[in-house]
Parts: sequence; structure tokens; C-alpha cells
Amino acid sequence: MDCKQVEELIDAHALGALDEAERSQVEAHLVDCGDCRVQFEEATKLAAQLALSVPIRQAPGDLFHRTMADIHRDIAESQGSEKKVSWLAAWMPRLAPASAAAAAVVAIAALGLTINLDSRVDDIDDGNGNVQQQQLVNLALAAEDRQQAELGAQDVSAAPAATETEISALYIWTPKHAAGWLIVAGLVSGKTYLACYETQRSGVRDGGQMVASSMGQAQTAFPILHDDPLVAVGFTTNGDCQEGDWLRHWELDDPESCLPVRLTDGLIA
Amino acid sequence: MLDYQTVSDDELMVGLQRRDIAAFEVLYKRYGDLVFSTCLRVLSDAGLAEDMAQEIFIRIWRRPEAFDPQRGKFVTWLLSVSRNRAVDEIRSRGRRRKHELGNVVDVEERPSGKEREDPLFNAQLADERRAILSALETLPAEQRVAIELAYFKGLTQQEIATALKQPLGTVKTRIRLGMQKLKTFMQAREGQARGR
Repeated sequence: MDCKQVEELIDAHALGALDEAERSQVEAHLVDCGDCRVQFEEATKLAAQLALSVPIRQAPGDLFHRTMADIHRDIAESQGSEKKVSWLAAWMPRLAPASAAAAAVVAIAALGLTINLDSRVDDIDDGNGNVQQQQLVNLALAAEDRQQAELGAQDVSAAPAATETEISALYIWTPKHAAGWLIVAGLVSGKTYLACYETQRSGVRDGGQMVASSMGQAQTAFPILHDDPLVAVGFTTNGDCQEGDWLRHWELDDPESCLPVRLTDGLIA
Repeated sequence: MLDYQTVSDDELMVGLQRRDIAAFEVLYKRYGDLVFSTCLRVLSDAGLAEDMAQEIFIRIWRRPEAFDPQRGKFVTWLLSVSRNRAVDEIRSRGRRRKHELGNVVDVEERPSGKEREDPLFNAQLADERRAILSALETLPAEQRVAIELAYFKGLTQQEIATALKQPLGTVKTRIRLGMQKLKTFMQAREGQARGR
């Protein structure tokens, strides 16, 4: 094809309206002809502007939540379970004599490190200033130390229970990740739970499945946006958060807070 | 603290490369409706359009480096990606035959009072939208229909000729003349804007 023939087809090519044979010939010409390539780029830009002419409909609100949930799953998968496991493993000796409540506190330190390993942000934003990640870890360790002191020399077995008896959990909101993180201890090892949460605007939502580890611990993250704070969190075993039959249900006193919230059996500690 | 609302699209895309989910959230809030609407225009099915919009945003999250700011504006790239993915979807589902005749009326759908009052966050983009709508209004209906069937329904010139029961040469002429008029209109508008 020469330039004159190609010029006849450039607009149709930019609109994607050429058949296979014509498209191949035009593309072969564009590789070698700068002038025609410039014309094609202009036509392509014009074609893209056509998309602005569509009647603009509001995307269903649910679409944003589904997209964010997919992205959180993506993040969880890409975080590298090996790093998380190895970090948790390093803490296991400290976990052994501790109660399930302490296990949850230690888990928050693991969470802090997970965010760090992810290297997306350098700190955790508290919405007012910044809670540095190390501060968060320190906070968790201090809480653990208090817990150890309360327990004294008691030899409390960390063996997983057959039923959910002494549930403890931690919840943190990290606005920069648009994520709420729930860590629960005292669960039945190997059992599957469904995290549930309720936000001010969107109501009750499924926060993703959690399978309790051999230590009876599980964690998950779900999207929590700046303009739709969490009001309640918990989990269920019946597979449907909408049923309202949550095994544990915690209501938050301050949905805007980014500080870790420690949750015990049905109460905010 | 970074105020994401004032950050440019290009900077937000750099944020995505650092895996900044807040940057992604802002991009979605800016363009979620536009991407969904573009997919809906092509697919004519709200459920499919939702799935497609979700897929497009997840792709952007996973591969932000696919956008090259040297090659043009983010929104232009995003709309091209949205349209192309939606057209691919039509083709892969073999739905195009169903669209050939049925959507000739559909392509004439114009923005209406059902739209959101302030659909685009960006004044410049809103201005560009008004311009392309005005430009399309200047075209004879047959030229506009041929262009819209090509762009929004993914039909080739031959398929458009079949759908409209017109000779292929006629369709080629309509597309070419229509695009030339659009180009002239938009260039004149850009010249006026620069002269202000």
C-alpha cells in the first residue's frame, strides 16, 4: 500500500473498523512511514475522545467494594506467606506461655511487619498525624508485656481449643491502605470462619474467609474507606454475615480511630 | 499528609507503581463511572459492564506500568483500554451478530437528563466532553451512526455495510468524511482555546 491508499483507511483503522487483511497492510505501512504514523496517532486520539460522548451512568456502589475486595485479595496473595510465617515463627516461643489474648497482640506485630514487608508505605497513617509503624509494633509489644505480667508465672497452654471459648481479637484501620485488619485468636484450629463487618453507609458485608491456624489464630483484611467508617466487626460460622447470627460481634466506640482496638469476648477491652 | 484529591492522574499512577492503594481509590473515584459507562455503551448489558469495569481497574492495579505518560493523557489511555477490552469481550462472546441491527437505534442514544448532574470531576475533561458531543451533533446522522457502530460496537466497515444494507464504498465514505469533520471541529476548538 502507498500513502494515498493508507490515508483512505487511517480513520477506519483508528476506529478498529478494518478487516484483518486491510489492518495488516496498513500496519505494515505505518512501521515505515512517519507521516502516516502521525496521522494515525491523531486519528487514534480523536477516536479515544469519542468515548467521552457516552451517557455517563453512576457505577453501582457495590462495584467499588467488589473491586477493592479483589485488590485486597491480590495484595494478600502477593505479600509472600513465607515472610509472614517466618516472622510469626520467630514469635512463637513468646507465644507459648501466653494466653490467646496475648497471641492476638503478638499477631498485630506480625501485621505491622507485613505492611512493612509490603514496602508500599513507610508508615501507617492515623488520619491526623502518623503512627509510625515501629510505634505500632512497640504498642503491641507493650500490650503483650502487660499481658505477660498479668499472667505471672502461670503455665497457660497455647494448645488450640475444641470450641471457641476465649476469643480475643484486634482490629486496626489503616486509611492509607483503605483497609480494616482483623486478627482473631482463640479459634478452633483448622476451622473456617467468615469475617463480617458493618460500615456506616454500606451496612453489613462479608469480610472474607479465615481459616484458623494450628495456633487457633486467623486474620483477614477488608476495604474500609475514608468516607464509610467501620461501626462493627466480628465473624460467623454460618457462612452468611447478612443472617446477623455472628459468633462474635464487636461495635466500635470510635469508628474514626486508627489506633489498634483490642477486642475480647463480646466486649471492647 | 498528601492530599490525594489534588494529585494529578499521572502522579496517582506513579503511586500505583509503589502499590499505594489510596492512590488507586482516588483514581477509581475519578473515573469509575466513566469506565463503567464506556463498557455499558459497548456491551449494552449492565452486569457485563460491571464485570468488565472491575476487570479493567484490577488490570490497572496489577500493571500500572502499562500506562506510558509520554504517549498521552491518562484518561485517553484509560478510555481506549476500556473500549478495547469491552469490544474484545463482545467478539469473544460472539455477540456481535446480535448487535448488528439491533443497536443501530442504540448507537443514537444521546446523553439525557438521567445522567449524573456533575458526571466528570475534571473541568477540562468536562469541557472536552462537551466539545466532542457538539462535534458529533454537527455530523449527518448516517456518518455518526457509521462511526459509532465502528467504535462502540466493534463492527468492521463490511459488517456495518451489511447491518445498514448499504454498499461498502458508501460506509467507507461516511466514516472517512465523518472523522474528517470531527477532526476539523476539534482542531478549531483547540485553536480557540489556545487563543483565549
